[in-house]
Amino acid sequence: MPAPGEHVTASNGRSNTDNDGAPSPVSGSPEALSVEEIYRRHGHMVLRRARALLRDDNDALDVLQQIFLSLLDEPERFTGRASVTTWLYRVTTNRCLNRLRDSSTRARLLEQRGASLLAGEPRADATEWAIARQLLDRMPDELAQVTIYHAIDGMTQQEIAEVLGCSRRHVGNLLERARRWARSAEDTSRPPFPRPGRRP
Amino acid sequence: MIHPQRMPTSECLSGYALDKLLAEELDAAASEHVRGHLAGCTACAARFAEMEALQREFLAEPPAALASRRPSRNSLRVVDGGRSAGRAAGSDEPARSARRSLMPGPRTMAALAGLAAAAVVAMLAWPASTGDHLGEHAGARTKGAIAVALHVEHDGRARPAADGARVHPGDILHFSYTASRPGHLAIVSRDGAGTGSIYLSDGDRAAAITPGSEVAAPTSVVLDDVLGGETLYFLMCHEAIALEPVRRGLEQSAADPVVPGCVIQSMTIEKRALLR
Repeated sequence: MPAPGEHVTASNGRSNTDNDGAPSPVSGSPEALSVEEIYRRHGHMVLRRARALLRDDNDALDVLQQIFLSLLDEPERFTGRASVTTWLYRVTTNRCLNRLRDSSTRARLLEQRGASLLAGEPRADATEWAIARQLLDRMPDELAQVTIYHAIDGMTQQEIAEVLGCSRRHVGNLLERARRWARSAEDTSRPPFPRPGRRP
Repeated sequence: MIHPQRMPTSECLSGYALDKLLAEELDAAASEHVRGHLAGCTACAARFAEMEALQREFLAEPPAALASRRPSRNSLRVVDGGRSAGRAAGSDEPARSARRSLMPGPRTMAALAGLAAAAVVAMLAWPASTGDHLGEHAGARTKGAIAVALHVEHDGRARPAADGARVHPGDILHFSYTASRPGHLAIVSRDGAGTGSIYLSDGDRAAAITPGSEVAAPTSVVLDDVLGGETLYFLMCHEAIALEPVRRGLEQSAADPVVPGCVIQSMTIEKRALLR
């Protein structure tokens, strides 16, 4: 039966990615952890990141619950090939992205974005990554993931590769594509009305 | 592996690196690198302290995502070893040992309690009044309802089951209910061979239930090896009706049962042989 009695194998050593080019040995012995124990040890991290991505406490709590109830129901989802933190980073990001694409969340985000545009506020930070952050719900999956890891989590390319289970080179390519996507999205999303200080 | 190379925008540590340190998932070299940076960077040290505080706060009062809930006390009687399951007292038919009831352990019940909300397979409104001939979940609804949830345990893992769920011999059916008022609940079934069984009862009668949320039934059912479709009927009744006539009726007719004073809903499960 699943948790509290269920045990999943978790590695407390270095994560072992299953990317093609850069295998990393797992150090230390795998330690069996119950789902409840994983919740207590890592739940704070899931909640913190979900809050940062969704900017809504209720949505973040929903994501937290969904992730751990899924794990309770199907503990085989965690294969043990990566560390618990690595796996939860990936799962949390994916759940939050799905949430961002949900219609009611989308409406709230559009409202927030629209409100700042209508107020004529210049973008607080004109960098492409700031733009990309605002458009996560519209970005293709892979690009949205790397944008989150890079622009919100501040991760290195190697760290992103570890979470995604791919090569660092692939991460570099994805980041470049995300930049280009954000640039073209910015070009099409400029408001038609003048910003403060400019003549119409 | 935490790699020092990063995008040129920042030399500080990522949240990922700090989370891995907090989770004690870094090897010695990476841990030393991270701690060395924390010692010399007030911004990262402050971030790490904040993460540690959040962790302490979470541990002190974790959100109820996995709150274990004790099943409420209710008047359902434990069925011992399954001998009485499916057979009225005094019946001369032998109990089918291949289909047995068992009592789920406390951990199972606690785990299932948290999942039951996602597995409602029957929602029965309280019967309008005693004596009404209600053969289906329809008609005037009065206040109060009962929701029944089903989980199927296979190879030690449980999953919520919906209508048409595929199951296998040896799987275990776990039931739970949420009720807003007291009443009587019974679960009976007709399997692929046309055999009627009683899955939830108090002896040979519908079991008295008390209001509660996601109350796990004290007994579960191990499925036997009769393959094919099986229809489960959930009866919500005013009275503790006798179930043997209902069970016999299931064997005598392929029609859905009609029981005065009870609202009934049904679902089917499809029992397939396991492919090895």
